[in-house]
Amino acid sequence: MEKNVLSPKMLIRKRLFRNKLAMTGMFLLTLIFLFTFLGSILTPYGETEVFRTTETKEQEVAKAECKYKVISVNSVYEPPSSKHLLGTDGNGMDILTRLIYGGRISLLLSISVVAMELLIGTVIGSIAGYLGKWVDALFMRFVDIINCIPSLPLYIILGSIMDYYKLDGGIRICMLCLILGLFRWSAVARIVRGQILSLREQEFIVAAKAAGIKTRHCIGRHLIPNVIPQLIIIATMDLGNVILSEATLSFLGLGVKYPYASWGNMLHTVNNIYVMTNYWFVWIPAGTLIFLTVLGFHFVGDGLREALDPKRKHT
Amino acid sequence: MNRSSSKFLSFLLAGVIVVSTFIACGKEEKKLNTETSTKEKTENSSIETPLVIGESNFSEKFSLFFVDSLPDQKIVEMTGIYLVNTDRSGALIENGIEGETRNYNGTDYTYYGIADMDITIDEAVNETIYHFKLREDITFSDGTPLTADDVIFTYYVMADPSYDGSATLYSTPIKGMQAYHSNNTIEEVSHIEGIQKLGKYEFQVITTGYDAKAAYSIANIMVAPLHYYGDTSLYDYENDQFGFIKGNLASIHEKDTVPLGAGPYKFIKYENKIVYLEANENYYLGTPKIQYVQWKETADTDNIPAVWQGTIDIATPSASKEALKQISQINLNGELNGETILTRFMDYRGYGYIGINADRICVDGKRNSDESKYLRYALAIIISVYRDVTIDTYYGDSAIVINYPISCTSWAAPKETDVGYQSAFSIDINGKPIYTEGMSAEEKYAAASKAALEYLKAAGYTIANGKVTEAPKGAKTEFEVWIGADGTGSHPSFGLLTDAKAALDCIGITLTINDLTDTSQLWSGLDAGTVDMWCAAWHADYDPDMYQIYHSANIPEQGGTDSNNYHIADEKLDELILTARTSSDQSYRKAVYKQCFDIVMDWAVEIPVYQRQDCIIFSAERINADTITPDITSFYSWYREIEKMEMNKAGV
Amino acid sequence: MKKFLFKRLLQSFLILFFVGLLIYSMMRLLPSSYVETRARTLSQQPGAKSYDEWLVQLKAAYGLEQGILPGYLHWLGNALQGDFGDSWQWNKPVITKFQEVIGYSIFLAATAFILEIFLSIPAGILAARRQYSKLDHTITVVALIGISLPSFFFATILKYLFSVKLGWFDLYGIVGRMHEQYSPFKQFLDVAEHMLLPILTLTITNIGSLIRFTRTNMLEVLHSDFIRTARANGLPEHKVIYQHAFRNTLLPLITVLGSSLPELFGGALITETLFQIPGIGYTAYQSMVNGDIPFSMFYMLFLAVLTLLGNLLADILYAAVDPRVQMV
Repeated sequence: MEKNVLSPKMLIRKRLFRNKLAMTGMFLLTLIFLFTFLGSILTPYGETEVFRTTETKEQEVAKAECKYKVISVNSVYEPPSSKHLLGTDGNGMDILTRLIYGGRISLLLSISVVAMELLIGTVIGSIAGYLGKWVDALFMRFVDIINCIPSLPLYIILGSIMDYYKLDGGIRICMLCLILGLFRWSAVARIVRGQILSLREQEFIVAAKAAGIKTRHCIGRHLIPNVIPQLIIIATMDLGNVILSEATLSFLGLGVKYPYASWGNMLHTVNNIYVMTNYWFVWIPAGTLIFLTVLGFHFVGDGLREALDPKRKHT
Repeated sequence: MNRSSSKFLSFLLAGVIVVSTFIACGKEEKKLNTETSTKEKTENSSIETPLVIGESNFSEKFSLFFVDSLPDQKIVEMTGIYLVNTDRSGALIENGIEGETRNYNGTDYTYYGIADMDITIDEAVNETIYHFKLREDITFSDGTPLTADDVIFTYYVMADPSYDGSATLYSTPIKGMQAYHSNNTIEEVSHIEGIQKLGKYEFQVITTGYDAKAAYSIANIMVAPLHYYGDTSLYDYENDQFGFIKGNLASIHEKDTVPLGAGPYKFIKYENKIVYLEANENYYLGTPKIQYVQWKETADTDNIPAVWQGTIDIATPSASKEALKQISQINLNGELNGETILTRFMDYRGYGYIGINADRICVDGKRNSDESKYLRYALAIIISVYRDVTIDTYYGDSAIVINYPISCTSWAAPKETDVGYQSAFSIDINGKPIYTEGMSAEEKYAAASKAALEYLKAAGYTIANGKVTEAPKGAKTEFEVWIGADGTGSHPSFGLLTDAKAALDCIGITLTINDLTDTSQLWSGLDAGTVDMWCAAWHADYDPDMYQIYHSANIPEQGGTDSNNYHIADEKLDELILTARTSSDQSYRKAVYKQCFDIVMDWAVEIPVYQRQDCIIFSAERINADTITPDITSFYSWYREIEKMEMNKAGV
Repeated sequence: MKKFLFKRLLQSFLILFFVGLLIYSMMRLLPSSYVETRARTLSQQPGAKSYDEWLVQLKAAYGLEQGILPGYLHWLGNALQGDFGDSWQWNKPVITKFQEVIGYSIFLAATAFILEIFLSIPAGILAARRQYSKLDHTITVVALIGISLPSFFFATILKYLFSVKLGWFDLYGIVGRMHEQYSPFKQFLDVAEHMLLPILTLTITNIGSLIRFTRTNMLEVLHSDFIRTARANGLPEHKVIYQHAFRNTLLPLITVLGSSLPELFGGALITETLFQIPGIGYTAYQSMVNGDIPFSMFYMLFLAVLTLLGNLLADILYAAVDPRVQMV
């Protein structure tokens, strides 16, 4: 009898690839990643290059012979053209180019922050949930303290400190990562702990313990894999959230600072009705890209979750 | 935990939420109920439409003594009255009782006030006497008559040692003021010699010497009612009692949030982010035609759509190019004045500039040497050549580039048609103009770089292949400029400096731009003298006196006003400033100030950037356009004649 | 249970003490302190005292000459007696200002909260039950749009659509221009009308994550064995869903809802600012940015208490819903 025996990993892969939505998601994400990381070859412009154009301006006839004067201005809010495929923004910079560079930052940022919060949160939450008693109490109270600290004053202080030391853009973004991650892991820890608390009383864990399993193995091999679906949900939601949080923080001087671009701060430049209705190209592309990224992660996440679930009846 | 107790807990949680909602609603209902509308008129049931004005957020310090924000100031001016007010050019109106007719921009206007003022200079005893006679029929909005006692009470509050508001009476050279204000406890100084009551409606103020600014500090103040802010039982002029206990202004602070005065409107309340005002029947120029006025807190970007949509009727949006485009788009005729919105402009009382610290940007520590001046001049040439493109981009027609460190609203500002008027930083090292007529923008930038290199060479820098390779002793090739906006790069000077930075890079000078999120860091740095260059704006006073900002005694940490952040210390300049200060001849002063400006520009410590305009928009649908104050200027705001304004009756 | 509660309460007090100290230190370390800004403005008047002199005078007046720890203990001492001091920014007692602004925020948040729950939970369950159908896709996309775009976006769009274009509502504000001339009942309606767009904004912003959360959890549960058993046993579908499946999704949901209790009172800063609602979010932000220590301390400690309370409540409910969980 020869049957094709597939290992669990191959099973998962097979299930994932069969899922049409997940594949669509992956396709989208690949496109977006390619766009942002390789796109700079396509565009001849710099990220912060300001473009100039000329305008004619009326002036008092008494001052000069000619009624019109040609003046030089920055090409702000120019609609899409062959020169600027997506037009220019309120400062005269090419939008397409900024989308590319901004995308890199936004994507890298959200992935690192989410990775950090998941890592720290899961470790702490699972230890607390598994060991229970005073360890749980201690960790959870620690989580409580973190939750209680208000983020806003901290951001303001950090913003000033970074100004004072005149840190350059790269370091600022790292600091931003750190801070965002540090504030978010506590929520993950609580959710993970909750899950572990209920899982821990299930029979397969009781059996494993009775068999004398090591704590490390128990947590790592049995409990955490059952928490992964939860983590996937959190991850896919937070990826979008982090991009948006970064935009809000830009206002406080902690995010990606002007003139550097990020999808978040490109969205945030639209804050009045006139710009929103007349210059669609300033905000719709950035918003669409964020939406598509979140969509892509969502579909892939869903697919992963289903593929990983051994209880699911997979047809 | 069994099922029933868990169900119970879930219900409890839901219940808490619902109950708190009701409590919140109930609180509002109760609040609403207890404020039974005072506006419900019993005799005339016509519902009067209030006028609604959009404004930035209030700080709720509505006291003429302690107001320190511009929006609060407007409320104070609507509810109070000035002793002597200014005309459209910023000059004081000296014959308020009979009225004075003055010409502005081709039209004759008659100005009224509550007092007549006479200024007599007595050179023999080196004194100036400011004599005032009040109208005898002015009352505050609660019917109490306004007399000299109220003015004297106001003076003494402002002179009090514990006074920490913005009025500067205490630094005016009034006889006896210094002693009174310093609160010398060894010998109690119980009154100020120079403030004298001459009758129920008559008084005078005497200063030592003549100071052009003093008239404003003494006469251009609002009159506070003694019976409301002070205590009439504590007022006895003969016995040196002025309505409160010296050194204790607590009773005046109590009224900070509810002002009372003799202005066209009386203050009702500040609630829900709206200041409610009602017409003052006792206003001396007649009861205002509009009964109810509301000042509603509005975000800047909401100003124009709100006037369009009908939430507010009047607003003052920032006059950026996009804002003006928005207004034109809303009006059917595509203009700034149409059937929906009317627009008026007035110059902003102040100007934007970039400052340079002479002690930090110099050669070999000598801030007034020629080499240092050449160095600063070189930087200034590069920065100033990009002013045009930035201002044209962001402001379009609503701002102009200026060439002297003074606001266009001041009478002392040099005009382009004046003799000797020069564009800022436009002369090369040999005394010839850098730019010629008809040069394109690119050509100008190239000429600027070339001229800057020449100055740097003269300052001792080594130039090779069109770039700076080495700095002379005691000088650097790296400089910093700080911008205190909000860290988002939205300040127009940011674009200007970015361009300048690129150009400086090309000639070997490094400029670092520090875009601060927290403006107070900028001020701290300026005070400590650690900032190379910075962007800011000055707010203009009525008087162009330059002492506070440009006199060498006021360099930070010298014990003066600490406002001379440029660290400019020029003997001739100091002399000229003091001369101009003590003269009362306007044309003489204007000439002296021109010389002062030339020295400041020669030092290259200030690059004047732009003078912008503010705009005021009115709803053409709801406001009767004929009743809007004509010829609004920065010294004569649109609400100066608010008593004449009317709303359109039809279709509100 | 009692012992558990007692222990937790004791721990909470300890936590609050430290959190309070942390917050106070942060406020003292803020660069743009209220006192310094005030001293600067005052010293810039011609003929005024110098900045340093003003600083000393104001610091004494505002009680800042002490170090951080003594300052905190001093504040704590007063606070325990119910005296939270006067707000520097708003020139009135902290409690008074707080009471003025908290009402609107609670109303806004509570209504949005209830609306969110009633909309998102059924939507999430529906999407899960009809996975991969058109309905599921529509709901998912709507939820994702809610997550992808920031709140001010929806606010601006709603304002444009319903106020400028359709003219149904005022652009912003909590009351209309004729408010003072209405009867009390009409005034209440006026306020409610002005709350509609802000509530809608808040709901749209938050609904996305709740829908997704519910949907994913439901999906997990729906495919588990005991549900299959229940169905096999012939249990009617609605009982399967609401009695069995839903209760198991309650767990993570409760954690999320419990931790959103502080948000109810925290105020939605951006929404309040955009609609000019005199709520706690905007007030607190202004206070913090301007270094108003009394108000900020009170507000942040208030939020800390709520956070702890929310977590405690969530823990209790958690144990209530899942009999396997032991409380710690």
